[in-house]
Amino acid sequence: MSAEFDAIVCGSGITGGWAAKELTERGLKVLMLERGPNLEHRTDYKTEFTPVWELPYRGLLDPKASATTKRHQKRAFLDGWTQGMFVDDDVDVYESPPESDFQWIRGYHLGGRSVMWGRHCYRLSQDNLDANGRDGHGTPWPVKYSEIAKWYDHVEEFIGVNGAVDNWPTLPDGRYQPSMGFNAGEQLFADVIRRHYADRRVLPGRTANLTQPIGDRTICQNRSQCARGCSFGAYFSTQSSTLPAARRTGRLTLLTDSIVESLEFDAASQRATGVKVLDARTGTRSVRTARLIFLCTGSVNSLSVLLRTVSEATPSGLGNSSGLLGRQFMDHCFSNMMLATLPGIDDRMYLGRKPNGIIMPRFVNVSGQQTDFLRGYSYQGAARRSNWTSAAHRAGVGRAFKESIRRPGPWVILFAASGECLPRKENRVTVNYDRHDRYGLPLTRVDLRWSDNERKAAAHARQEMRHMLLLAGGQIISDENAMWLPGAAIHEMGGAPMGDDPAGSVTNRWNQLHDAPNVFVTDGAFMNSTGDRNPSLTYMAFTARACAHSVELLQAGRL
Amino acid sequence: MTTRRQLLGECTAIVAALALARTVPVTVAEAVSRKADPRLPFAQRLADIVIPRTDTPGGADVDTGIFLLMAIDQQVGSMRPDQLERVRGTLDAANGGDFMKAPAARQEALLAKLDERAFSGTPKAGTPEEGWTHLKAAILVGYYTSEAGASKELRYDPVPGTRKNITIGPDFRMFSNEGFGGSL
Repeated sequence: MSAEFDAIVCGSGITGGWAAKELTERGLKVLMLERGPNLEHRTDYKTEFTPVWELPYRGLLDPKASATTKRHQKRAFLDGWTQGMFVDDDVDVYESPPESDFQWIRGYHLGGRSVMWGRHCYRLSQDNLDANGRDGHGTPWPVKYSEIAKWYDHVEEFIGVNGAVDNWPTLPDGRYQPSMGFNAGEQLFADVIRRHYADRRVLPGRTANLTQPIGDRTICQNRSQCARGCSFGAYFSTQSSTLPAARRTGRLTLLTDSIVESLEFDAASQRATGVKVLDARTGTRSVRTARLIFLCTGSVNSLSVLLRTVSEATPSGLGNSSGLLGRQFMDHCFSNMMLATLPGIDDRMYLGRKPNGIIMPRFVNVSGQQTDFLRGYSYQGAARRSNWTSAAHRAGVGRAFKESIRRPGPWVILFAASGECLPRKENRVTVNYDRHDRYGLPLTRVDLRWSDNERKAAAHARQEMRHMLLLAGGQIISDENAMWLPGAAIHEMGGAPMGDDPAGSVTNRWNQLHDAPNVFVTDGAFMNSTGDRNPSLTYMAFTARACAHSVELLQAGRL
Repeated sequence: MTTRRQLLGECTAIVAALALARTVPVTVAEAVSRKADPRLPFAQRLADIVIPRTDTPGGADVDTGIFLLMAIDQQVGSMRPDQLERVRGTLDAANGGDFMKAPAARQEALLAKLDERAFSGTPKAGTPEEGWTHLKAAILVGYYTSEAGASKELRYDPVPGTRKNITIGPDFRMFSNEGFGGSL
């Protein structure tokens, strides 16, 4: 079929940027569509260098916005510097039933959430990939870790991930730049855990912050303010990394303010022929054509695009012949943020604000089923010296009090659990044709509820966390004792699970829709399970792999 | 899970203290409009007792009192105008008359006693002690987010560049923009 482009990449975030890079580097002429406005690297990071005293609310979130336009987005711990990077909840509306109260956190601009993401990069393990098949929840993964490992290598080497080769069985090692390591508080806690447990370790966090330059991207300046944008290019984002690579090929066309409404599907050929695009500024509609379509708009939006692709041949959306499209939707269950003191190291401090933190990989149900819940959780955290804010909670006024605030306060460690969410059919993304957004598109509806498994795991994680933090000899000074709302982890995924059997999956082992093999879903929607760890690295690896496969198929005339 | 989002040094302290600053812009217009507020001298005096001028500006020098009034008037977080009234009332009573007419040293001593009571346990809601805990938090936010507080009283290091574990002595001065990239 003739088409304007070889490929259309829908979305410019973490996976969209990767798809654009990989496809253009393999010789394809690519159109990348981004629904939001342009966000130029460096020049559009408006608050990157703004000192706190120049902000209208002294660095904090606009309070009126907190109650209205950022009432969901604030779950991402927005502040006065970053609030502009997140959508307006009164404008970019969606539905979620009260029993779910899903928090859909987004950034609609070039680069999407790659500008504001947390940058933690961990590989799924073979055990993670075996879980669905082992316990019968969700669609079994059709791939092995050994098939994905080289794509993890490929991504890590290109984006730059600092980390250590830890040889820990539940956390596969990767291709790393020198690790940012521990500070003294983290080292103390790591030593305590090592002394007390043979099956648990505290490891330096692995993040996409550079400790060695890559091209014109310089090393991390240790500001820990990444979400404002980084003119140094020191963390991975579309702007700093994949977009320049795609542009260097001369084969990329980028359109911003371009919303993907639905796909154009030809029933006779069982192929998508293009994308229906809605201009966000003018409301005009157009159709852009291509031989390949990559859906990288973020799992909720990609599922919505497919669900909106309704025709006589696709009455319940494209890719839904199994009835699974939108189902088995998941997020990580974050819970139990705790803060504890770390005594005995008051003469230790650090210079710089390293952004990597620590991770304690999953240790429950690793060698057999040991608890009353399936699968498990990991922990992440960081240690810091307390600063002036802690003075609000102690007695003192006057000169001596002011003087005391000049000195570093106690070491504290913040720790929280990241629990796996079981894939369940009742957790789903749908579209509501009775209500519409400001563009006239049917409203996306997300219904994701925690189950008893998540609740039991969270309770177990809390108990273990308390015990471990107290082993370090300090006091627990804050104990959240709560599960975060679905969506608040901002790791939403699933709804287009992959599998070899079209009756039990939406995509195949190469991220292709069974029902339209020239459509590749490579954002989080393809994920069959969450594991217990940050997913973006996995999305990137599968995207690169799918791109390579798609080009092979095109060149072989099989698409 | 991300350092951007969670990995702060003191989550509860930050949530408590900084909740107060959520609605309080210290704009020029606001500052001008507050100058005639009859409560301002008292608010400034409280700020100055908590954070006096030393070799760096004090609370009143950087108009922390204005910040405090805006916080209570806009009911930032759990701030309420009656908290200032309660504290004023208890200080007047302790002084046996108008607190603002007492000698400076007596004002400082009376506030220090209130502060000690407020932080010797968890004060009951609605008491002057409880009110004081909120006012004090706002004063600290207003001061340490000012340019003088953040960059003269404490160390302001927007681009550390380096990352290094060090041993410190008693004279090491803390950073204001510690823990969360300069936000408070």
